[in-house]
Amino acid sequence: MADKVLTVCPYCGSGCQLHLLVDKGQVIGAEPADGRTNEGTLCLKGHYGWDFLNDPQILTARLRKPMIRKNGVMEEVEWEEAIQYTAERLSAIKEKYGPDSIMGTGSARGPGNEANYVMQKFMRAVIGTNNIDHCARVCHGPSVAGLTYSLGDGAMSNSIPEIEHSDLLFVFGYNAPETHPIVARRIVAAKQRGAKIIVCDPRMTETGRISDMWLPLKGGSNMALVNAFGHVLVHEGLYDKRYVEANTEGFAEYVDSIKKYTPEYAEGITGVKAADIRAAMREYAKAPTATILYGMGVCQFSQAVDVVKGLASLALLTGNLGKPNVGIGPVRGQNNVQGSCDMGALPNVYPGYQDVTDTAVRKKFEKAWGVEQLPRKKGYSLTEVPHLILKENKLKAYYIFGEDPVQSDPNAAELREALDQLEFVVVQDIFMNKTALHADVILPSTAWGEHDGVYSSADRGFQRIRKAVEPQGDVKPDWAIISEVATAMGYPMSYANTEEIWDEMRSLCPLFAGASYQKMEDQGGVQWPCPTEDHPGTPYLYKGNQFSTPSGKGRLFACEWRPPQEQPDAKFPLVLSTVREVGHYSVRTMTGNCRALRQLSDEPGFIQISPQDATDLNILDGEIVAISSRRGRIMARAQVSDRVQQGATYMTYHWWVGACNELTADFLDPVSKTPELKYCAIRLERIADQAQAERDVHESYQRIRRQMNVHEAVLADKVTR
Amino acid sequence: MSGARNMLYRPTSRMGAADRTSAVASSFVVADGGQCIGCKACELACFAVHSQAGGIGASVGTVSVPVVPKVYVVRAGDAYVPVQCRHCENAPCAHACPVQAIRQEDGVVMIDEERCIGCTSCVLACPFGAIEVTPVYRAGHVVTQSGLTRHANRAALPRTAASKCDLCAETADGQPACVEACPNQVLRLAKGAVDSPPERRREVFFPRL
Ligand code: SF4
Ligand code: SF4
Ligand code: SF4
Repeated sequence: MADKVLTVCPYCGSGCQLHLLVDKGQVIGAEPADGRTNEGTLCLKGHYGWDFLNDPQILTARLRKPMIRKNGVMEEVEWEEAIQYTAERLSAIKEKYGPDSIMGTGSARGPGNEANYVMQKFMRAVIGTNNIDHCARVCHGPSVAGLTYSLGDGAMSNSIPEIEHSDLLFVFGYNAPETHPIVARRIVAAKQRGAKIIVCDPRMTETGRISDMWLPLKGGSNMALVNAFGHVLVHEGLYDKRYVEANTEGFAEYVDSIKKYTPEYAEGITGVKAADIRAAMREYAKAPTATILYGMGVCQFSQAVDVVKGLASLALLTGNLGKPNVGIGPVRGQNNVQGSCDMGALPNVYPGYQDVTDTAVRKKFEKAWGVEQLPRKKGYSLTEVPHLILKENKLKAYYIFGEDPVQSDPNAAELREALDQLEFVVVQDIFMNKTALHADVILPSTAWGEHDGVYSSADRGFQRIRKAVEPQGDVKPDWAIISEVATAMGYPMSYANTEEIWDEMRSLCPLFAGASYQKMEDQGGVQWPCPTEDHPGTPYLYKGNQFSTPSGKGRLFACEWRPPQEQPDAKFPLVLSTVREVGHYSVRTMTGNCRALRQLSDEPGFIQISPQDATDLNILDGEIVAISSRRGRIMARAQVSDRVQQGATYMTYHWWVGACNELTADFLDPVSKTPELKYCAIRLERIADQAQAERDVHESYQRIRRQMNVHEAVLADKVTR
Repeated sequence: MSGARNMLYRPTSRMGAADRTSAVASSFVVADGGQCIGCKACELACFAVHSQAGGIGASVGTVSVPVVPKVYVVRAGDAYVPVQCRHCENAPCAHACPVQAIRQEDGVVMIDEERCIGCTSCVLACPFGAIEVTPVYRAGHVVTQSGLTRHANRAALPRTAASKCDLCAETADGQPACVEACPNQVLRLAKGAVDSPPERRREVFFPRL
């Protein structure tokens, strides 16, 4: 009979709890558990997303042994050599160019909070730099920056179960059915309970379909629409005057900034009818409880932080904060984005969002970590890395841990060039991936299911993950690898287990101090803030409208709308947005190696286009097309959809042959440094010889798999299309 | 869940041998309203259950068979709807089958894979598009036809058979896998003509999208 191991799904940030069924040392199935957010349900990734643990090599091979590049080729070595080599090279670079020439990443995925804590400690205490960041930069960086400004915390103010009980859901640039099916379930349930749903999205989505009002705005016009919303609230007197007076600041400036954004003016920019803008805000203001949910349709623009602040202002204006079933929810896309932020894998804060420039805080960490002086200035952002290497010659080494930026970050060609220019690149991961092709050292680690730890769900919920099976091959937990490198560099680090790391972290973070392993065990999870041992955790933030801003008040904010940076023209007439697909996750190394998930959709991926554009370009549904931008050229399958507006296209970013990040631009939001992945100019071309195109796709897929160490036997045996 | 709905969830006649003889009306899985979010959890659950018989559903590794579910999530107008066999009382597919490979057993319309000749008559006859003719897999490998080859490269053709929802006949507990997997409780096992009051039935058959 199979054993059952209770753990948390490693995919989206919904934080669903599940049981892994283990028989003879292998996972053979998954069953939903009664978690706080999922209540006995799972989406398809939760049900069938464990197959990758068995290394089926469908897409890429697991990393099983440390490797060092010798004379240009990767050679397998023993751990001792790999650790020693990594430590020596890092020490030499630190010596020669200074600590700030080294950059490190956290990992928002499988490794968990403890590994992220150890990694940021390594970068700060051992290397001596705040150059640590992670892929939240490419997704919810603007939420952290924007919400921290407006409300004091960069996280969801509400909890996922509360969504169901809100009277109105205001969904902005967020496609829950594809990205968080279990949150989508809450939205459907809210609807069934009679909630009103308002959706702002250029594309018709499932949530749009069940909504009471769908506002199809033009891509890149977010700020204008949000300003117009504010205009309606203020000028129609719909806002909560008493609440604004008592709990917010900046109202006068706010009113000034939105003055020109009449619904009629915004209609010209956004394409949304003035009457609809008015109607939407009348509903939003009227609802006894209203929750804003938003996603990448807000964050992946070069004006993202402003829009986040603008959305928070709508909640502040209507008093929809500080009580149950209201608030603003940036729903985190990866299982542990919230966690890596919580653990301080960010260039400006220590664990628990404690400012690196705050002397008292720094002193506390210096003492605890036994370091004479921790770095005083903020570190670099992840998305600045290519520029820092290629243009400013500032970075020399990069320790990439549990991330695959060549696949997930914009402008892949530039990133590859940057990696190759570095003196030293460390990749620590579970699968061979596109970034590892540029590494000098590869350190293989254990995967989800093979180690213990804690994840933070999107709604600030700490939950335990547990080891279910023994890892195969010569691999180690991430925190152990980093500790060994630290020790070899002359800073002894040793932990017996993850709980020891967790307790060290808690002792330094007032926000998390009471969230012990035991409490997670007893309660199933703990939502932070949890300041003391007897505190049960916090489902919603800002109780009594006490905001965590310096003044304790919410800050209102609006600013001028700016159009996206790269506009379509005669040569590149269409706009590309990158999106996500329900059956796959992130860079796809995990889900792509799950038999069932992989078969639902496979290379080269799709590009969604409108029927009108398809007709104009003479492209049929299902045909392979060539897509190019100023930065690259790829192939993908056309998916003609009447849910898409003319001139707009959408691609999921999981594909290796149809890798849309070869096309995307690296224009950044000035504050959060998040790239404008939702808007770049492309061209679509028909390919006359479809049979040849299919062969080309197949061949490039096979070529990539060969690079990814997939066994020749596996390659020969199988048809991969 | 409301009382009316619970009624529709009543365990089917396949639960125990004693019940079986009394079963008349067919059971079938229906999709409720326009709540489906198109997430395909049902498709995968269906595939996983049915490939267990082929020896691969619960196993792991590199065995590769196409995901061919017996429930299809399709776009209907603006909405997604999962479509599968209705287990018709007067099943057109069975009438169309020239070799009597389709029979009704305890309210479940079943296809005998062994007997099926893959002639696609049932595919054409089914008004819901619930049947596909698919290659037959055993233990993760496609079963081939000994005599019939593709002329150009002389490769043996796969043996194919009609495939459709059989209400998870091969599972022990009688609860269809799709019903259990759906995170939105879109699907439920209905006992068609007998149990449901007419107004409820209409809603079941013509969900308000
Ligand atoms: S992917 Fe997300 S919604 Fe699906 S089971 Fe995992 S945590 Fe839940
Ligand atoms: S396959 Fe089609 S025709 Fe046959 S019983 Fe099912 S729904 Fe009716
Ligand atoms: S599992 Fe449920 S919500 Fe998902 S596609 Fe199937 S019926 Fe629809």
